[in-house]
Amino acid sequence: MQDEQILELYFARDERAIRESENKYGGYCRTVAGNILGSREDVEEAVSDSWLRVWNAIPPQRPAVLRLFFAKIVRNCAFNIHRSQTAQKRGTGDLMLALEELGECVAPDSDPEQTVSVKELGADIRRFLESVSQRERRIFVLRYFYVESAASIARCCGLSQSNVHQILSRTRGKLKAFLIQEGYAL
Amino acid sequence: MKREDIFRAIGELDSEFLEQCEAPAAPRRKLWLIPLVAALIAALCATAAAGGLGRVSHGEVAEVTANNHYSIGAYSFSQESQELEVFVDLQLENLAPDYVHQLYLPTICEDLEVTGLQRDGASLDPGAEQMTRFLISWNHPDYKFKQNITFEQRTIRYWRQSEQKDTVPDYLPGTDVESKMLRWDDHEAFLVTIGPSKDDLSQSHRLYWTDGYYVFILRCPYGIGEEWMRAAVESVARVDTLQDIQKELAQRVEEGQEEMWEDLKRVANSSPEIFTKQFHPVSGHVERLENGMPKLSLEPTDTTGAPEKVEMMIFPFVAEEKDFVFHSDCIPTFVEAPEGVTKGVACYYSVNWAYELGGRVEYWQIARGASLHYTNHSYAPADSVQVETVTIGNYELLQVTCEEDQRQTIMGKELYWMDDDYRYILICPLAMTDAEILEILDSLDRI
Repeated sequence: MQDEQILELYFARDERAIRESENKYGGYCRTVAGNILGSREDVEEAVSDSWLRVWNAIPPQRPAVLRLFFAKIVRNCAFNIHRSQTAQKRGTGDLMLALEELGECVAPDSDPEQTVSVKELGADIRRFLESVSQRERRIFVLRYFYVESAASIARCCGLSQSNVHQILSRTRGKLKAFLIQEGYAL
Repeated sequence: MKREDIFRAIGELDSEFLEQCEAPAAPRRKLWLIPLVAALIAALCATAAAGGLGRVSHGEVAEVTANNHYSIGAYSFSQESQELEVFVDLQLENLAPDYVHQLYLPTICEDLEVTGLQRDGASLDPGAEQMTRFLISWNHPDYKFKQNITFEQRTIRYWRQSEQKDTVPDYLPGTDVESKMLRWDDHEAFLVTIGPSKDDLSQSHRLYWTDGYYVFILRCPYGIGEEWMRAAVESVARVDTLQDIQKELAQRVEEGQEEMWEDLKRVANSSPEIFTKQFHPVSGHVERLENGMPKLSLEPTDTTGAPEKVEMMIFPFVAEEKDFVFHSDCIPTFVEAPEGVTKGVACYYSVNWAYELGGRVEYWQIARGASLHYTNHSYAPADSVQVETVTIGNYELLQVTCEEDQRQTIMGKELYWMDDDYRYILICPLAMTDAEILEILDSLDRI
């Protein structure tokens, strides 16, 4: 079914919308969630939560790219589940590594209580990504949006793993400088 | 600010921007293998599932071989080189032929490039042409194909393993590569058309698509149309277990055999003249082989001028089943119903020693349209096989003479010819005279 048709089902409040979404993007969403979560049960929970959130979000929202809209929601759901389980250390190794890497963009003595508008920060990160090369942008997104492993990114982009690590490290350095320049208290 | 804030903020990137981020550089013409693969996968990432790659590193392969038997092997991906390869170590069942012509496709692999089936004896002489029958029956623990699609690939030049290998169907320097997206209602696929090059005039397609979890690669011949590709793409479906596939296959094989068996009996009962026209007066009977396939055995009652014993395989075909598989004890082969023929009988002759080879028999085949395909000669070293065109009576035949096999026990020749409706193969002793052969040929009046 075409994305537009699925959207129309949502707008018509037809519950087949969820079934069709599951049929078309269920596997994809599980992959996204699976990169963040360690167990199948958690992945299923994240995907189930996502469909509910999608149902509540559309309408009024009309996503331009349905697949990525789903990806964003399932990613958030998965991350929430991960956070609730942090005490049990049940997150996947890739997520923990990705977070550690992103920690390089934050100074050790930065104030963790500093209130940050996630939306504003997201807009700034977008501006930052627009300033780097397409390859850096793509690898950054694969790593920190999809939480793909370096090995997977290397295969996907035709690079060696060490090359991927280098590119990511360089991009994180640029991001940190950018955020400081934008006035974030890192 | 915490690192989690950055992670969450990245999740706020809007969908359109994310899509742009995923987009690779546009595919280029005249690409070498590695960058092409990267570009293809990148394109797939852009169009489908960036998160879906990288799941399978080893597993089982279930294949349906040409005669509907299946075999299971293991595959593993070698990452020693940038060109990742799939090695298939087929462990064939007793009922299956011990040679599998092709690694059947599509192949589920992630961002891998299948560079060829690594298997002893899978090579041919320089300049030889390979006939490949793709039986689209590739199965995977997570997937199956709802339908089997059989077709012949156009010829490919294929070199011996011991010699240069870069002409194994793959990219060559200077090979033209074009690509485009195919979009249907619910599917989209990335189509790459390869060739020709100065060394290889053939062309082929590679079709890449994904269901968001795996990337599929289907190699298919140039003559295949987009509708066929669509059918292939749509035919893939997730299944629960490999056992389900096997059960279904076993059932299908059984049903197919029953159908063929009934057809054969009908033909045998309704057209006795078919048999007596072939050689000499014969007596014969139909029996079911151990593998469940029907076999007609004939004993000439008058052996004058004929081989001492002849086994003849007769099988009916109908137009809906373009390719018919038939079996002797050890010989799987095919006859394709010619276009426009809706029903009929095709025949296969062999003197009995041919069945005693105990192994595979490879064959030459004359396809309609005079394209010649060579599969393999396993029972004879390549340099002991001569191929020539001979004229016997009014017949122009392709004669393949095998002077001796590696065990130096078999000698014989095979004759191939065709009329407007049928193709024929005659395997006969080396000593058989032209007059004897002509008698056989003349006996094959149109049925």
